[in-house]
Amino acid sequence: MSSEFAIRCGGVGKAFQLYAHQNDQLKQILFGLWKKFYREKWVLNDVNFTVQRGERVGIVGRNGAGKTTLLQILCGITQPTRGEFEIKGRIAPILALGSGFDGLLTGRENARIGAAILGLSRKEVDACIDDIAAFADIGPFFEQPMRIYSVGMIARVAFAICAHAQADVLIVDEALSVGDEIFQKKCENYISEFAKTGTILIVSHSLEFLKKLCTRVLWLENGVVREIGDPAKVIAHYRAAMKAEQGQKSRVAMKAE
Amino acid sequence: MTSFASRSAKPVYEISPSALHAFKLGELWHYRHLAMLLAWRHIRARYKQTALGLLWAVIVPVAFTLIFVVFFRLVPAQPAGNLPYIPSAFAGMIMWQLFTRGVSEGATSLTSNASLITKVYFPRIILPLAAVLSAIFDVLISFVLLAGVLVWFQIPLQQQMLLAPLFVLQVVLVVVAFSLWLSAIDGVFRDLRHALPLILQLGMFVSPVAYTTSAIVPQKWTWLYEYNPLVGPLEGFRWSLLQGAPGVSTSAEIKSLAITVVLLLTGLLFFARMERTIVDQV
Repeated sequence: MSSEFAIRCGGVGKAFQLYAHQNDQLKQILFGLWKKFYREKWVLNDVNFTVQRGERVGIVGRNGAGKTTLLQILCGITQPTRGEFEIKGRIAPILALGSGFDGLLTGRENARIGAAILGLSRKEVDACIDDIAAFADIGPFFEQPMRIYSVGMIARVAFAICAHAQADVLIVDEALSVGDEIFQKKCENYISEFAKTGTILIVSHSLEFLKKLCTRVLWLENGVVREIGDPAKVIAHYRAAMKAEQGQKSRVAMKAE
Repeated sequence: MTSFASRSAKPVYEISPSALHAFKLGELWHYRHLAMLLAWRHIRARYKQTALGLLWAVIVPVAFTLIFVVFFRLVPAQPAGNLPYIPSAFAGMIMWQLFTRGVSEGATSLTSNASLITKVYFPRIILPLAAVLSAIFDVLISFVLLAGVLVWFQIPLQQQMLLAPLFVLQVVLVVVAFSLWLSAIDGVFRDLRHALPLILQLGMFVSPVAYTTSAIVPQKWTWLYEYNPLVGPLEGFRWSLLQGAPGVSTSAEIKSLAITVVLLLTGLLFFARMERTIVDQV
């Protein structure tokens, strides 16, 4: 079982098409066969890695390194320009859902829609909606329109939905920073419970949390995998690189003065 | 807390780059519940905080019909031939409402859900389909009123009334085709939002809504007029309900159907082509 892969990325690359003018885009559609009207910006380049079932892999990298784009590709939200990837099982993108909530609808109604978006059938939603309410633990607010929710309450509902999506692969982007301590604890408990059977891919800037949680860490820089391996080692290298760069920058700044 | 060891056996979805997401009918079927929920959300959102609520779905076609009635009293014309004008115009107006509501909701369905489609995967085609579903629901209420109008004007029952739903279905297909094309275009070119109201307004004049084809359109231009995919189902709908309505020739209905099918298939292909990278743009 443990030798089975959950996520496999082979030479994945992603280029955004940058247009100088909106008109160029129209030209591209009409005359694209003969001439190119855009510049390519490669945000991911030849990304290769495999995640085994049951692994917890953290992704680190500075802003713009391509972390979110990589997650978007793995979730099936956008397509890679090059390469191929495969994910086995149902995916739950944690906390991403909160953005799709409708303020006019109640927590319960939004939770039903959110669960359906994650691919649950009507029966499955019916079966787990009360568990979602219990997990979110926001009391009578669950039956109120969401526009009166606090940010933390929205996050609670979003997390509760994902926790009941019966996922095989959990994809977490910058999560767990919202919500109060009790709820954060609950999320962490859930994630370590989930890790016993499922696979986790998590992007975070809280390196200590990754060190504690992950079995491996992937360091993404300028769209390529710079290093992947033991969390403590990769994170140490990453920190050193960040520090070195910061030092360089402040030296340049001092010289400029 | 729920234990996740007790997961039920699920079909395994492999999300891999494939050109034709839109044609994965199995996946679409799996998400049918979502389409219903999103349509329901659409309707809720549309009528929330309105005093008249769902009545609006009826007021609009009724108002338009009354405007037509007044207008054609003022100008000497017989826009519906020998047919009683109000039932004829109201029948046309309801079908037109189905088209115009469906298309305007469907066309913006991807961009108005941008925050959703950039965060989570589900078959994107669900969004335009849900928008069309919500429009159908809207218009269903008007159909009840239409039945009332038919009774009031003592329109005799006839067998071909049973065929009316088929013509409604044909309009729905046209709406889906337009929604697929326009929603994908709207993701890239927001020009569409400015052009759409214009196109829809013009569309009403070149479709047999306020008038019937045989009463207004010059005979030598009928062949061209019939390329409008709405001509077949609108006239067909009228023919099925109102005794003595001329309806359309078989060739015209075939023309309408053919154009609808072409629009639908190319729309599916175009949508499938665009949905792969649409989130890079919205």
